[in-house]
Amino acid sequence: MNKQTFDLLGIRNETFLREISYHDELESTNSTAMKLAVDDCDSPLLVLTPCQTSGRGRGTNTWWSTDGALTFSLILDLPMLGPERLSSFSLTVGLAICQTLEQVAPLADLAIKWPNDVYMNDRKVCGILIEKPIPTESRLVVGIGINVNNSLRQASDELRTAATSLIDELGSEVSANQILIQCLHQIESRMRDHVHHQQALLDQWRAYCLLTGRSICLDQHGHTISGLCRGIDGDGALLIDDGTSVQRCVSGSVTQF
Amino acid sequence: MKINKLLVANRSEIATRVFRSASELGIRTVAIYTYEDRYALHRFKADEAYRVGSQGEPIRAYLDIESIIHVAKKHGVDAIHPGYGFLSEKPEFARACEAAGIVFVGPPVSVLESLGDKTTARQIAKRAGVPILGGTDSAIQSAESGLETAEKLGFPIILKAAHGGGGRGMRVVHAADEFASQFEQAQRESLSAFGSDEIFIEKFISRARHIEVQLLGDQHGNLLHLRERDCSVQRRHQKVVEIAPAPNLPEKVRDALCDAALAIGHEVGYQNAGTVEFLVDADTNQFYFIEVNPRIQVEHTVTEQVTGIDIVKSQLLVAQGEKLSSDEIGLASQQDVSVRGFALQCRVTTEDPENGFLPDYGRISHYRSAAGMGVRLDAGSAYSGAVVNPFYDSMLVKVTASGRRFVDSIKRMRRCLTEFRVRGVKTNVPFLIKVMDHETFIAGDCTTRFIDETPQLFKLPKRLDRATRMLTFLADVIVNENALVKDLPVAKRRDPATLPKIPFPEKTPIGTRDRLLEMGPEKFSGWIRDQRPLLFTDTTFRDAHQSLLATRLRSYDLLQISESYSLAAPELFSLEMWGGATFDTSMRFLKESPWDRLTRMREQIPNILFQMLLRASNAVGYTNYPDNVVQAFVQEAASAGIDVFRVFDALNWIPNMKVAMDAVIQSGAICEASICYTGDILDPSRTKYDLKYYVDLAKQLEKMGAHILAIKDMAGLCKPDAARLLVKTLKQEIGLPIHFHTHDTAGVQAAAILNAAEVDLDIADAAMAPMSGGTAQPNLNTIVEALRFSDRKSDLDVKKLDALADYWRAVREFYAPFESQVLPATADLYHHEMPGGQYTNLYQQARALGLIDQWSLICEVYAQVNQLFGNIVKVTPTSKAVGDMALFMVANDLSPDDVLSGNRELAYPASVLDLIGGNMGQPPGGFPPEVQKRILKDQKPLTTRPGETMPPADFEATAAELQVLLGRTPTRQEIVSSILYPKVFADFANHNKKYYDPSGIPTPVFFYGMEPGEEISVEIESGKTLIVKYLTTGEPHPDGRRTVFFEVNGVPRDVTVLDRSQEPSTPQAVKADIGDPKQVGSTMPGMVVTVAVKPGDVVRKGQKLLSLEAMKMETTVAAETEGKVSEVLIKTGSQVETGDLLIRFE
Repeated sequence: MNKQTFDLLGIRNETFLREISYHDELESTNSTAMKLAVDDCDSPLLVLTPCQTSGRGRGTNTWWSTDGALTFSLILDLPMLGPERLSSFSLTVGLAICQTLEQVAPLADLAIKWPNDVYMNDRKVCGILIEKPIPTESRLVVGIGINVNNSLRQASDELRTAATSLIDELGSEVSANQILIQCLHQIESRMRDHVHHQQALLDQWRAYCLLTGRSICLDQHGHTISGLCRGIDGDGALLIDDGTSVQRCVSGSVTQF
Repeated sequence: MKINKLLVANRSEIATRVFRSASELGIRTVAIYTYEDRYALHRFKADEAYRVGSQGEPIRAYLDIESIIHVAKKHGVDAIHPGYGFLSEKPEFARACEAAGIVFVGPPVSVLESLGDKTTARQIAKRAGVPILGGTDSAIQSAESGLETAEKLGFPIILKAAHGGGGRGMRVVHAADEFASQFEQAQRESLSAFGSDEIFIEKFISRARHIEVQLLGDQHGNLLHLRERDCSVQRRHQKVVEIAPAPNLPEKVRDALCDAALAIGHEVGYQNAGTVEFLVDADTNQFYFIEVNPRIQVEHTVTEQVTGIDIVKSQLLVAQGEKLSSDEIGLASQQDVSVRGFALQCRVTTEDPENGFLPDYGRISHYRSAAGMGVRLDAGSAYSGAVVNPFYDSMLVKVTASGRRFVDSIKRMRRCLTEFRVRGVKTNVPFLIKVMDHETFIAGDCTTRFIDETPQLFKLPKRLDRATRMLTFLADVIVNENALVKDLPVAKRRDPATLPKIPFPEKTPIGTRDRLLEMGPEKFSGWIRDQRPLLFTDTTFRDAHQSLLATRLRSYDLLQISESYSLAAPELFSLEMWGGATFDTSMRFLKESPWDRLTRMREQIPNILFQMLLRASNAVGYTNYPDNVVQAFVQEAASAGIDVFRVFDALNWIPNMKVAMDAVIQSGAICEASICYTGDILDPSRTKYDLKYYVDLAKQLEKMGAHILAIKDMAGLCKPDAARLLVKTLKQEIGLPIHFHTHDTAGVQAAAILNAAEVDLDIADAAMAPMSGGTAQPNLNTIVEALRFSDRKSDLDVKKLDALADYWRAVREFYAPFESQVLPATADLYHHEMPGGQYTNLYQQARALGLIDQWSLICEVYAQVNQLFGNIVKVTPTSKAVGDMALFMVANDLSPDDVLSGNRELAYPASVLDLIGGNMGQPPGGFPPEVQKRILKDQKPLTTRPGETMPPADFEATAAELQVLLGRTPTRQEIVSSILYPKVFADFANHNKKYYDPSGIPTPVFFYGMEPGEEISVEIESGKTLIVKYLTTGEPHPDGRRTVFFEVNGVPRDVTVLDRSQEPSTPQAVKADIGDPKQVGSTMPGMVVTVAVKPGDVVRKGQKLLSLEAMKMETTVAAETEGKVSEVLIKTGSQVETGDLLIRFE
C-alpha cells in the first residue's frame, strides 16, 4: 500500500478550514489537536497525518489504524450551545460521514451506530471521537478515522466480521484526498444544521440510525439496559424499550445489537 | 410417490396457507417454530409442531438446513414445502432434502441454480429470445461509441457516473441528437464530483409497470401459465398492492408476456410453480425480463381468486409426480386456464405510514377483522393479544378482494379495509385506503413510481380510536379514583335516575321559542306583557346547582331529562341553563365542553327559550375582557342556541354593560338587562340605593334597547313588600316586561314572588323543588300550585312538574360530595347582604382557613368591608373582592380603622386591588378616596371603562396556537374559550386528547369508576354506542402500572394505566443551588465516569473534580474556586441530570 498523499493547498482552498497542521507521522491526531485547542488557535483547524501510530479510540479501545486509513482531527468552535446540544454533535458528524460515503458507494447501506460510529453494510467503517478541550467553552476536538484504502482482507476473522473498508466494499482504491474534501464539505453544512435546523437534522439522525428496531444491550458502567431500540430523541438520547417503559439513555456503550 | 406427511419450513401466514391445501389433500402437516414464535398461530394450524433453534435465534433457526432436515427425518416427514423467503430459493436446501430422501416441493436443484444467478438468468432469457433491460458492461470510450450503444438499446437511455450516486452525474437522454452534448456534461460532472469521468449507459424506462406471469409445470414436461399479475404499486421495491389480471394491458402485450414467460420456463425445463417478472414500459408497452422467482409468491392469492386454481395444492400434486392433466389438477391444456373478474391483494402491515413506514411493534390490544362476500384473508398472527415482535416481517394479514370489474374489486377492498380495527400497534390501513381512493389507481394507470410521486397518499386522516381513549379514562378512575371527589363525602346512589313517563305527543308542543322565532325580540317583548298567567324560568340547569352543588351538574344528567322538558313543560318561559360559572367549571372540573352541552340540549329542547347569565364585560369570566372578545362570545353563544341573555354589571355601571347589550341586540337574541338589587328600599334611612336609584337605572337600560328588565336579587335581599313596591313602580315608569330573580337564602322569597305577581310581575325565576330553597331559587312546584286559584294562575301542569322534580331528587343524590352544609341565614343577611352563591363559598373558605367558629364575625366584617368600600353592589366579581377582604381582615385581626390608619404595611388580596383600582368598573359615587389611597398606595386608579383601553384580542394568533395544541383547525368557539380561559382550555383539550370526551359516562361511574361485572353503555356519536363491561384489574406491574380488563361490545379489551399509589418512590436527586459557590452542579445529563476527589481533599481553582460522559463525549468538571471538599454525592456510574448536585465544599 502506498502512502496517502494530500494536496494540502487544494484542501484549504476548497473547504472551510482556516488552518492545517500536517505531520508525516503522528501518535494521535486527537492528542495533538487537544494540545493545540487549549492555545488560542484559529478554527476550523485540521490536524492530518497519513500515518497515525497509536490512534486513540475512547477509553482503552484503540482505533485500528494502518496505512491507507484516513485519520484526522478537527478543532471546531460551535456557537454557544447547551451541553445536550454539544454532546449530540457526534451524531451530526456521523451523519456527515454517512452522506460522504454514500456519494462514493451509492449502493452501500450506511448507518450511524449511536452515538459515534458509522457502519457500512453492517460493518464498522468509521469511528468518531469527540473531546472537549476546555470544559467551559463550546470548542470541540473531533477525531475521525475512516477505513479507506486499508483492506481488512488480511485482518483477523473477528475484526473482518466487525469492520470493513472502502477498498473492500468497492473493490478499487479510492482517493483519500477527495474523500477528505467531501467530508469537510458535509461537516461544514451539517454543523450549520446542528446550530440552526435542529428538526431537519433530527429527522436525518433517525433515518440513519442503525439500532432503531433492533434488540440491543447498553452497558452503563456495569449496569445493562436491554430492550428494543425505539430510536433517538430530540436531544440525541437513545430510547430503549425494556418492555415496561422506554428508557432515555444519554451514556454508555451499545454492546449487542 | 404420494406425500403422507408434509413439513413447512416457514412461518406465519404462508405456513398456514400450505397446511390448508395439504389438509384438503389428506396430508398430515408439521410446523416448525422458534422460541420467539411459540405463540404464533401457524404452530396451532399444523397437526404437529416442533421447536427449532434456541432462544435468541428468531431468524437463524428458520435458515438452519441441518436442524430442519433433522426434525423432518425424526418425525417421518416425506416432503418439505419451503414457502417464500428463508430457504425457498436455496439450491443447498433442495439438495439436502434430496439427500435425505425427502421431496422438496419446488423446482429441481438445477433450475434453482441456473435461475438463482442473475447473469445466468439473463443469458437464459436471451437464449429464449426474451428482451432484457440492456446496458453496457464497461465504461463508454467515446461519444461515438456511446451513441452507437444507445441507438442499439433504443432511446431514452440513462447515463450514469461509474462512481456516482445520489442523482449526481446521472442524465436521461431522449434522442440521438442530444447524446453528444449530454455525454460530455455527464463526464465533466462526474469528474468534478467523483474524480472519474467513467460513464455507463443503461436503457431508461421513465414509466414502468411491474408485471409478472405465474407458471405451473409438472415433472412430465408440461408447462402452463396462469396469466399475469400487476404489482406496480410498490414502495422501495416492496410490493404493496397486487392485481390480477393487469388492468389496461392490451391483449397482444399480455399474450406476448405469457409466451415469453413460457419460453423461459421451457428453456430451463421448469417444474412446479414459479413467477417470471417483467418491467413493461407503460408508454410503448415494450417489455423486459427482470428475474424468475422459483417458488410460491406472496401475491399468488390473486391468481387463485381469478383462475379458481389452487396453486399450492397443484404444487403438492406435481411434487407427487401427478400430471397437470390429472383429474385432481385438471389442466390438460392452456385452454383450461380462464380468468373471471378481478382480484386485489393488500398487505396489511404494522408499518407506520406517517413515520416513513417504520415497523411498529408491541401487543395488539384489539383486533377486529374484515369479512363477508368476495373476501379472502390469509393471516399471520393477527388476533387481540398477539405480540408483534421486531424479528420478523411486519405483515399481519393479506386481504384479497375480488369483483366482477376492476372497480368492483377496489370498492370491495376499500370496504374490507374500513372494517378492520387494529389497536395497540400502528398499521398501514389508512394508507391503503388512500391508495384505493386515488384516481390513478382506480384508472389502473399505476407505475412503479406511483407511491413515490403521490405525496397525497400520506395525508392520512386522524385516527379517532375513541374506545381506547374512553377505556383509558374508565380504567384511570377505577385504579386512581376521580380527583374531583377525593376526600369528599361519598354518594351512595348508583342506580340511574328514572325519567318521568310522559306520553310522546305527535310533535313537540309549541313553546316560547317558537313564538320568539316567529315574532322577533321586540314583538315578543310585547307578547310577554300581554300574558295573564305568571311566567316562569326554571333555574335548575344553572343557578340552582351553581348555588347548591358548586356548579358540578354534568351534561349527562342535564341531557337525560331534556327531552322530557320539551314535552312536559313547554309553558315555561325559559330554562336558565348556561353562563355564570358553568362555562368555567364544565371544562375545568367536568372535562366537558360547555358548547357541546348547549348544542346537544338545543337538539333535545327546540321549543323552550334558553337563557344565560352574562357578566357584561366579564362575559363568563372573572375579569374584564377586550370588547371584541365580548362581542365574539355573544355571537357564538347566540348562534349556538342562546335566546335570552341576562346582562348585568356587578356595580350596576351602565358603561360596562353597553358593549355586551349592543352585541346581544345585534345578534337578534333577547337582551334582558339587569339591575342588581342591594340595600333596602323600605328603609328610609338607607338612601344610596333607594327606589329612585333603581327607576333611573331601569330607564337608562330601556333607552339602551333592552327587551326585558331583570331585577337581579342575587342575595335575596328584596323583601316581599320591597318586591311589590319595586315591581309596581317599575311597571308604571317603564314599558318593559319585568323578570324577577331572587335567592331564597332568607327562606321568605316565595312571598316576594307572590307579592310581585299581584302587581303584574311578568316572569319569575324558580327552581325544581329538590333543587330549590336555601341559597338557590324558591320552589317552582309549590309556587305554581300556590297560584292555582289566583288570577295569575300558571299554564304549567303541576303534576308534570312534579314528575320532572322527581328526576332531580334522584340526580341530586349523585352529587352528595358537593352538598354544602349551610344553615339557613338569620336576619343578619339583610345586614351583610352576601349573595347566595357566595354564601356557601365563603362558608367553605372560612372552614378551610379554620375560621368557621368565627362565621358570624366574618359576616359582620363582610358588612364592615362593604361600608369601607363605600357600600357597593356585591355580586361576582365584586362580592369575591369583599369576601376576600373580610377573610383577610379576620385572619389578620384587622379593623377598618387599621386599614384606614395605614399604620401597618399590608399586602392586600389581588381581587381587592382589582376592585379598588377600578378594574371592575365604577360604583355609584365612586370608591372612598382615602381607602383607595391606603390600598393602592402609589398606584393610580382607573376611572374609565377597562375595555376601552385594552388592546383587542388577537384571534388569529390564538387560532395558530390552538392549531398546534389540537392538531387541527380550531373552531371559533374554541378560540373564544381559549381567550377567556387559556390555561383551563389547554388542560381540557389535552385531557380529551388522552381520554376522549367523558360526558357520555353515567355520573356514578364518572366519579367512582365501575364495579366488577357492571355494564354501561356510552353513546360516542349518534347511532354508535359502546357497551362496556368492567371485568377486573390486574396486579401492579413492576413499573407501577396496572392492566384493567373490560369487554367492549362483548369483545375482551384491556388498557394499562399508571397506578399513582404505586409510583416508585425513588429519592429525587438533590439539585444544586446555582447561587451557592460551595455547590457544584451538573451542567449536562450524563454518566459519571471518573471521580477525582474525595471528602476532605483540598483542591485548587481549576482542578479536575470529576468527568461526565454523554454520548461518548467526556466533559471535565473543574473546581471554580479553591476549597475543601465536604461531600461527594455521586460515584462512578451515577446517572445525573442537568442541575443535580455533585459535590459540596465546606
